[in-house]
Amino acid sequence: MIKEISDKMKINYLFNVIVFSCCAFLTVQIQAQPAYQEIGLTDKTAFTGNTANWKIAGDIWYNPFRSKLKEEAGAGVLVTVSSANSQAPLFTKMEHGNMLLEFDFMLAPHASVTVYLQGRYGIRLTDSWTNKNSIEQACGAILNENFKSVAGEIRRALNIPPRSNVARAPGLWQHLRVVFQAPQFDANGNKKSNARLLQVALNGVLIHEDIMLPDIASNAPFKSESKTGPIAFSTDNRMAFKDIRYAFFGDSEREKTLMPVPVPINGKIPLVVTPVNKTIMQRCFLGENDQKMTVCAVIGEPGQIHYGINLEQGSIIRLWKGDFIDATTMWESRGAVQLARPLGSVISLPSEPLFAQLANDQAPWPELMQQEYKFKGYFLDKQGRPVFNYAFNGLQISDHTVPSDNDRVLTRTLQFDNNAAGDNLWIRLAAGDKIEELEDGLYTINNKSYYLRLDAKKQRGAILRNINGREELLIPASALSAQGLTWSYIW
Amino acid sequence: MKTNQKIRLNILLLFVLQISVVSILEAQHNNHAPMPAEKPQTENDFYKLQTIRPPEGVLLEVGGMAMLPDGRLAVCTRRGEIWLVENPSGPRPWFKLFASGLHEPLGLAWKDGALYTAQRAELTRIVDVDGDDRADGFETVCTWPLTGNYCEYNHGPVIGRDGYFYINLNLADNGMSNREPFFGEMGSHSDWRGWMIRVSPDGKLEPYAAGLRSPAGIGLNADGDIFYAENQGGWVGTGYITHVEKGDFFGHPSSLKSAGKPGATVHLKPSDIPTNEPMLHEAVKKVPGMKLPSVRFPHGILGISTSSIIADTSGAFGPFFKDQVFVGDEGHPKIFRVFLEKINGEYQGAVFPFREGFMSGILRTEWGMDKSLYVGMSDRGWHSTGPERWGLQRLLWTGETPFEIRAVKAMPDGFVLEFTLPVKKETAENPDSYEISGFDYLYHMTYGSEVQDKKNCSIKAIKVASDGLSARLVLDGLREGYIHEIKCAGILSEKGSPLLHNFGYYSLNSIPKGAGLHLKQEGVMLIPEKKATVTNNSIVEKAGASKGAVAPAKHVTKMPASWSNGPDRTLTLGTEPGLKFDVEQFTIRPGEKIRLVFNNNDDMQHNWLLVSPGAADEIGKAALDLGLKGANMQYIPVSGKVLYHTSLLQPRSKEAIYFTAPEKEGKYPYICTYPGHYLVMRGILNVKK
Repeated sequence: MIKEISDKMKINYLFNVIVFSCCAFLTVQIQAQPAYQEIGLTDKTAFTGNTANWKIAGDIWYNPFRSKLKEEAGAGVLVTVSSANSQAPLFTKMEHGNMLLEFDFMLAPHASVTVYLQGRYGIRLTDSWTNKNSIEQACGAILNENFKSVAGEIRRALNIPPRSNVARAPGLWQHLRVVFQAPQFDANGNKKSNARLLQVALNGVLIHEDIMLPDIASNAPFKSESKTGPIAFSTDNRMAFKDIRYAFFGDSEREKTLMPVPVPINGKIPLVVTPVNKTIMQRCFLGENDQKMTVCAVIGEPGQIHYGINLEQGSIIRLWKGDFIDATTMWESRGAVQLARPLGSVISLPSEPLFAQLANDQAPWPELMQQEYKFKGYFLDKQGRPVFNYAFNGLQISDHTVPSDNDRVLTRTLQFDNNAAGDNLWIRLAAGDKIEELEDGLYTINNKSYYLRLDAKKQRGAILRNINGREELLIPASALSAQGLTWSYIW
Repeated sequence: MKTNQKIRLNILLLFVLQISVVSILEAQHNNHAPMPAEKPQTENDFYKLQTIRPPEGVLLEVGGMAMLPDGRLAVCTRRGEIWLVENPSGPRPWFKLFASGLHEPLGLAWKDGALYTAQRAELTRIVDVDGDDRADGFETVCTWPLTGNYCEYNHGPVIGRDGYFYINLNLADNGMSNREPFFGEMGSHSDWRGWMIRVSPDGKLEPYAAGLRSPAGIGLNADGDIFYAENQGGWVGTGYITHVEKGDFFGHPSSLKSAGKPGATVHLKPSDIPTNEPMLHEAVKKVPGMKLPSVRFPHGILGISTSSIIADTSGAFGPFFKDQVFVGDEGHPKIFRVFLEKINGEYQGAVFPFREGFMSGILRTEWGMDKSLYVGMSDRGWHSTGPERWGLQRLLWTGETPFEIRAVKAMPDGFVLEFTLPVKKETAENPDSYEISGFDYLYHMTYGSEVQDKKNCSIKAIKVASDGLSARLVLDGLREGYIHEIKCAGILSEKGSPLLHNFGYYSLNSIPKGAGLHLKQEGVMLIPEKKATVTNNSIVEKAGASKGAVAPAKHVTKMPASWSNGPDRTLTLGTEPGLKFDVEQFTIRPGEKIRLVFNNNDDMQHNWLLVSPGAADEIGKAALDLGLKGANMQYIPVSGKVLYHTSLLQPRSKEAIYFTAPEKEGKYPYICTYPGHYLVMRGILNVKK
């Protein structure tokens, strides 16, 4: 009994006081961003140093499961040369003081890169998906190796790990946003104030805030501190950058550069829900204030891989990792906002129906479930994971999503009597701006924002189509075996 | 040490002796002239309260309760859990988590081996297939549309005699912008909002009745008829419970947006609704199919927000109250007692105080196997006057008979008052023992209503039954459609005790037909005309008349002409949900010219009163005690300790007042004196040099 209660407490009422993860959102007005400048990636003229290790490409694909890559010639992407094996850094010609920096990056399996601000203060971006190690090893740690602990003083660890592991799988584009405040020196060159990382956000989630950098990183290219310096990239692995942009800011413009931090409602303790030993399934509204999806659920796993589903459409609409949800706007006072807020790095998927009857394979996908559809409820398996049931035109369909592959992948299985399905019933697996098949059954969706894998080797009949500029991956029910259909979301 | 103990013992002994002497003296005195029992009896002497505490860390914000056939109490919470409480009446109830993850379930019912609850978007059947006391099956019985507004609560289900599920669909909060000028602060933005719906066992939704606003409770009376509880607000002058039949319309026009939709059982249009602010009894005559609520609860006197409805069909609270209905209140944690009767085919009746002192706002009640009443509470979002924010308690009858007005029954020419114990005949035959008046409330978009057209009734004749258990009153001035206040403070029991509660309110929707009391018979006390005229129409209170009684210097809404340089300081404050001012303290200088802007951005009425240091409780309580006069006086008591005040502000309205700060330094409390709000809604004006 006691145990059950204490688990329960942990699960539902783990009040997290860390301001960042609180996200009891009062939406903060986004201030005018400072003017960005871009680092040109049409050629390598913006760089100096170990430029031999890098080249300009049009696009790049890494397979998350094996060290295989595909490149496309062109411009806009900075990639490592596949034969490179030198960690000697690449420098920007641009030198900076206070700076807001944003870029997209993509890692090959096992790859890592250190980004040195001013050539001195390092942030380590690493593949923490293939090797899902401890948080200390996760993507986004700040290197602070020179800063040795001194007996009798409280000092930060050698590496400051990110607050949570919100890294994505190799081969997907990830996003880093850094606000760096340069160290200041007096007229005699004596340091007046230390450098600081005011914010570091990985894939939209704040992973560091206001970290003081009292000294340079041990392996930094530059060995002493100064007012300015270039950005340095150091890697001996395969990886790529794109859309590198930055903005300098004066001390008075600091606030403008910061991404809005959610503020707790009325100073209340945020109600963060955290799955501890069992899966949590919570019915809720999802979406935005003026456009709520009202028949939804979020399903959270102790392994920190979560999804949100719109049960009116049978569609998984949110995928995320890291912390689960903030329920403050549902449960504090009247719950006037009344939305469950996913806390990790969220991938939003379109909310159109999971299945539809199409007159032919070129008919547009409907926006809403057809009249014959009914959400019938759900059963919980022993782990507490829901098996959703739908009825569609007399067909009974069950929908079961479970984490697999060391909580890196969500695997979804639809089961129904395919003989009763009829010829024109289609299931839509994915939709987005760009869908590409990387290899047999493995697709990148929406410009490499996540992967979809058809798990059975012989999923015949899946078609990739482009309707009105939107790409869709569909499969006809008639093509399926009696076991139904299984696919995975990988990110 | 020892000496000390001895001394104490002696003192104790002395006390005991003294008390005995006093008791003997009193007893002797009583022999000559019977007096009320030495210690006035309280509700607690008859109905005891016990608190059931869940394990640490469990937040039991009760949204629904259902007694299982095996004696376990199922409790669902607003955060979406269902707990099974084993041995709930025992010394140590045992809590087991049965289900979680539901979406604000606000009701629980047991039927054929399953629990049913209304979540935000659906009616759900919940089962435990593998018998491990953890729910594993959640079947969607029926869904309904909604926009996702927090106020789109669904109360229920209650299972009717027909086996159908009855659910109330609350209106949505229209928000700050008063975006629907005609409909008011509560709106219907998806089908069937503001309706009671009925769902068949196979999941078919049927819109059943319309005109609901914030129908926080639903239940059956002793005959198994469906009743619902309504909350005061726009278009609802005061709360009520009412019998509901298919096709009824109760007055809130927002629900009529769905009245043209297929399946609708009410076919009125918003244009059918009168906008000339009639009294409710007049409005129902103008709107076809609109029904007067069975029993209205005068706002602020008998609670402020009715919720749970449950009938005592077993006489658990005593045989005298068998088949009466017990109604909880969310804002004032109290339970009221309702006597119902059918007159000319429709239910009406009287409501009385019953038991107060619960720990938080009451949402649900459920009978236990041992005839105790489980009371489930949560006031989250609508702060109650109770000391805690949620809880579970049980109420038990001690077996003693309280001296109460058991029932008030309508007669063609008056009322019969029935008592639980025989009355002292001379007190019941004395017309001065009674005060009876009638009044109504307005039907309009404005939040709530002042008391309207209040007039006294005069007593023409009294006949007390030979067994002393009833008094038949023949009255002048009965008015159909009006609520009748019946006070009988002068009545004593045969043994000399006063009534535990000496008043009630009868909703005289319909006056029974037939002959009145034959006055020329034995036992009928005729009251001389002269006597009657003393009360008759002597205290006519016109609506708003008492507004003038408020000293204008305390309420200045125009900047005094003498303030040529304007105010020295402007103070602005608003509200926060949960009965709070959004500024808890201001600091000003003595004698400063102050402009105070009170922006009531809440969805309830509030006022702002500055009172003398230390007088917050006194003034707050005085406002609560204004009774029926309260609304007309904007809950501002006449007292020298009220220094300055705003008007009673409608939701989402504001007012600026001008006053000069006190010359004397000190901490001057400011409070809202809307009934009960003063307990939590307060701040300090710190006057400092």
